[in-house]
This record gives sequence, C-alpha cells and structure tokens, in this order.
Amino acid sequence: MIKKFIIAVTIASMMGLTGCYDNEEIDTLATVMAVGIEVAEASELSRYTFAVADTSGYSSDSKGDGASMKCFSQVSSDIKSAVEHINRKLSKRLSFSHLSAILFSKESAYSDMYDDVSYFEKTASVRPQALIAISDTNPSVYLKNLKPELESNPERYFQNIFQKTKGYVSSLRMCDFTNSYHCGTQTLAPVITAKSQEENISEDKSFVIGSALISKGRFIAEFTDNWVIGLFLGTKTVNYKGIRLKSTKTPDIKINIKDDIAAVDAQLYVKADGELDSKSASADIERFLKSAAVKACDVIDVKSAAKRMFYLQKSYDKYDWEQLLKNAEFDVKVNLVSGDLK
Amino acid sequence: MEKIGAKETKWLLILLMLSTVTLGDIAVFVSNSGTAAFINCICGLLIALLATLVVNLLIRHTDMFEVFTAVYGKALTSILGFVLLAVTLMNGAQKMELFSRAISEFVLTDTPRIFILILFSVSVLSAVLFNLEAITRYALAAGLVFLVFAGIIVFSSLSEARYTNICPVLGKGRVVNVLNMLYVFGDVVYFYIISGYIRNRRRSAFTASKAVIGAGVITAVLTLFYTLCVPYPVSEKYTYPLYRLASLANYTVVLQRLDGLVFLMWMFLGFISVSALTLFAVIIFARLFNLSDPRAVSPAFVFLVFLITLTGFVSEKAVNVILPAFAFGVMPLTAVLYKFKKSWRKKND
Repeated sequence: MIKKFIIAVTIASMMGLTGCYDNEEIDTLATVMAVGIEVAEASELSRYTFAVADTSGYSSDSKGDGASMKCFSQVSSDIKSAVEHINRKLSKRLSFSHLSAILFSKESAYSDMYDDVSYFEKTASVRPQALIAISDTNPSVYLKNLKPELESNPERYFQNIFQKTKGYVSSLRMCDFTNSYHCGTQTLAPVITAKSQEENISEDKSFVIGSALISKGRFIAEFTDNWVIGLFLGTKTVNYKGIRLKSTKTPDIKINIKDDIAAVDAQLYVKADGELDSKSASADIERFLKSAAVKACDVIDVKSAAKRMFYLQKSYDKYDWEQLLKNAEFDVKVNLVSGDLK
Repeated sequence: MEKIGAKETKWLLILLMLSTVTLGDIAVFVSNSGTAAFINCICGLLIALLATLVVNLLIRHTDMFEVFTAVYGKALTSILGFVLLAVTLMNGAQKMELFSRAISEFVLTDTPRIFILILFSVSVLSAVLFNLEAITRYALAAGLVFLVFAGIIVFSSLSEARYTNICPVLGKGRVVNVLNMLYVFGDVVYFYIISGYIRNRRRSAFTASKAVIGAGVITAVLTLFYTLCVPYPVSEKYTYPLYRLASLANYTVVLQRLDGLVFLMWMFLGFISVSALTLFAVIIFARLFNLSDPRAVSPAFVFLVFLITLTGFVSEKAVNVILPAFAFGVMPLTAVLYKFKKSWRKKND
C-alpha cells in the first residue's frame, strides 16, 4: 500500500515539476563571444568591450550574410561592475557560456591581467579553454570592426586565428594562464594585430605577430621571432634562415644545479626541409635562450621541466628560480631527424 | 526486513565512500600531500584493506551488535550504538548539506536552498520507505553508471595530462598524512550493521574488503588524473576537483563540456548516500530499542536529518574521526577480543 502511494505521489509531483526557479529563455541572453579590455583614455579606469553574437543573422528572412557581432563598451573600475552596468542597460543578460577570446591591450596587459581573468575563471559557465591574447590594435576597435566573412559561427573565427594555422603561433588558454599564475611560472600569449584600421576586419586581415611573455599575471616581454619558442613548445613548422623546421617530439630538458648555478641541457629532435647546419642552429638557440634568461624570461618553461629532477616539494621550493635562471648556462643540441616534413 | 544481495551491498558501500570524493576530498588530499596525493590514497587503501580483512577473517558471518554484546556487554554496546547513531545522523546531514550546496552553486543557482533541501528530503523519505533492498539495487545500477561517467571524464581529459604535474613524486613527503585520508573509507563500518540482511552470508564474507578495494582504486585513479591535469599548487585551490577535471575535458568536438556528467553524479550520489545513511540510522535505532518494524520511525529520522542540515549542527571533524576510528580501530580490536574470548571459552568448556 505504501509503495503504491509513493509511486502515485512521485508521478503526481513529476507532473508539477515543469517549472523552474532557474529558467532562462534564450532570447533573454546576450551571448558574449569575445571581451576586449583596455585602459580608458585619460583615466585610470578600464574600457570593457563585450562582443555579443548577433543572432538575427540566423533568422529565416535574413539574407544569409552569416552571423556578426554587436559590441557594447563600458568604462569601469573592474569587470564585475562593467558587466552589471551593461546588464542594467540591456534588456538581456550577458551570458559567457560561449566566450572564446579575452583580448587585452598591451597597456592593460602591462598593468595587470589577473583580476579580469580570475573573474571569468570564477564564472562557472566560462570554459577554461577560452583563449587569451594581447591585441596590438585597441581591442575595442578590433572587436567593433571585426566581420568574419567566411564564418557563420563567430566562435570559430578566434580558433582559426590562434589554433588552426600551419605555422607555429603561441596560444594561451584561460586555464594555462591561471595555472602559470598560481605556480609562479611564465607563459606565452599571442600578440595579434589587424592589418589595417579599416572598417571590416576579416580573417585574412588578422595576424599573430609575436608572443607576449606573461609573468605573475602581467605582460613582461614581447618576442617577435618565434622559431625557438615554436621548436620547444609546439609541433608546427617554424622558419629559420629560410628553412622550415618542425619538432618531431617534446624536447628533453634536463637541469643540473650546482652551487646555485643551473646548467640546462636541451635535446631537440627536428625535421627540416633543407640543408640545416645543426651546430649553428644550436648556437643560435643557446644565444636566444641566454639573452631571454638574463632578463628573467623563462620562455621554454624551464621551471616546470625542473620538477622532474626533485623528489620532494620543499627541495624544489627552496630555490629562487628567477635568480637561478638569470645565471643559467644553456647547452642545446639539435638532432636532425630524417624524413618528410609533412 | 527484506534480504539484500552481496554485490549490491558492495556497490552501495563503494558509492557511500566515493560520495565526498566527487565533491572536495581530492583537493583535501592534494592539500595534505601535494603531488603525492595519489600515493597517499594507495597507502590509505592498504591500511583500510588490512583492517577490514582482519575483521572479515575473524568474525565472518556474525552481526556487529551480537559481537559487541558478547565482548563488551549490553550497557557498553548501547553506548557505542548511540555514538554510532549520532555520528550516522550527522554523516547523513553533512552529506545532504554538501550535495545540496554543490547543486545550489552550479546547477540551481537561483533556487532557494530550502527548496532543494525539501526536494532532497522527500526523495530520501521515499527511498527509506522503499527499504534497504531498493536502495542497494539502485546502488548497483548507479555504480555502473558512475564508472562509465568517471571513465569518460578521465579519458577525455587525457590530453591535459602532463607528467611534470605529478613531480616532485613524493610531494610534501609526510607519511603521517595517510591517516588524514582514512576517513574516506570510514563508511565501510555500515557493512557490519547491515551484514545480517545479506542473502548469502557465506559469499558476503569479504564484501567490505572488496568495497574498500573498489572505492580505493577509483579514488586513487581520480586523484592521479586530477594531479596529472592540474598542476600543484593550483590543484589545491579548486573546491570541486572532479568538476574542474570535467570542465577541462576537450576530446575532439564530441567530448567537451562534461560538467553535466558531474552534476548527474552529484545528484544520484547525494540521493543514494543520504538515503542509505538515514536508513542505517533507523536500523541502528531499531536494534538498540528492539523495534520489530523500523519503518514506523523512518519519517521521523528523515525529518531529523533535514533539521540537522538546516541548523548546521554537524561536526565534520567528529564524523571524519569517529567513523574511521570505529571502522579501523574499534572493529578490528573487537574482532580480536571476540575471537580470543570465544577460544578461551571453548578451552574452559
């Protein structure tokens, strides 16, 4: 009798469970695709630009132009109040579930990136895979003029710029940024630019022009020549003196610390489409790494690679890695691997 | 009360032990041991297994209350029973609190907590009234679903795994931290309360040990993958490690955004663990007062768990200390004393 009663109550209550406290209609949401952050003119505040998907392009009576984006800007002291302000102004609520890219102006990235990124990190709907980039062009101008011609889905546009290239470009995801911030390591973000300041910025007018080194949540240095970084951190092709090179596997990095001097020994396994003088390439790489290390720039993340040399966390933590890197000696060997570059 | 199967009981115990592992336990292990959290899980598993094996080998088919009465007498058994009853009620309330908070933070963010708690309590009341057999059968089905979900999350987060993340391999190097994670296996103590209801008691002799192995292996694997994917010390900052692991999942275009799987896991684990613990409290109460039909007091106990959750009268520390102390201290000691007393009596006779 009790079982029958429970089954009846369960079925009856299921019928009543069609409503929801958390219901949210899709037309009340403004889907943010990208956020631009820059220092506002003549003030200490920041300008936040939210590029929202214009879904009217999907309607049946549209001319098939594909989707575009509408931008909303707000000058504010922090991202939280900027979002609240936009939400008050709009009849819709900003939704970050499809956020693909967070663009910082160089000036803004120099001062601090962490506070803004941590806001998105704490927002459960934002994917940790959202991309972070430094924009050479002002992010508000870049996003306002952005018209991805070939994409009906603007989200793909950012992936095409940063991730679908044949050659190596650095790419930084939000989770990697957070990891590097809390682990005290350094990471690289792409520096992007628009070819011109004209009204429409399409795919072929957007470029990655270098890598920005991020340390402690701040942009500290820029590298325009990416070939060494590409060989260490990626498996895509890089150009070195007119020869295309490609790492075939993750380089072996070993660190030996003696009398507070770190000796970094790196073995690279590289395929080339031309005659490569590996000794000269090794010397060039060593020079690049040494010149970066002197400025405390850990471009190939020696600090993380060094973890393998320790058994206990406290023995790893006792070193001042910044100082250790400044005095580090690099010994790089480029091993040529035979075979087609493809 | 209806009889239950050994396999179903094993899965119920596994899910009980894993319930808080899917919430914040992995972050606690990482905070205690650093990159060696998974090694500590394996060591914890071995200690728990040894303790349960001692009990399983010494008192194979005997009910916990019978053993306690034989060793300590009726008065002390009653005191121990009341302590266990209080801890079980707090354990149920603690799990209801943890799961309702997690659901409220991520899934039903605008829904008032009281609404979620009432919904929880109604479901728990239904489960408790359906009795132990229904809960154990549901546990078997839910256990298999849990395994599939956990497998998908681990597989699709493989691309994020970095060997350097589990280095330095010995982490904080504190062996004593193994004891701090034993609370995960504390729920195995409930096996000794319900073992009397198992259909084939001969086959059920090592159910507790099997459950400890199952829960321990799953915990160690999840901890290992979490530490492989999220570097230390960031790994100790996330309140819900499994949720983080699922949100990192990015295997082609098919397996992305697996957060939903974790929400589902939370819902059925929360429901099953609170229901089971409330029912265990009812069973302990019935045994203490020799009640023939424990179902009569079930609604009162569900209401009690609901009230404890609402008032926050839960000592997490007490639950996390007393339960493992019972499972891996009192129980093996009692088993040894019981065996000793039995053989001594035999000799004297």
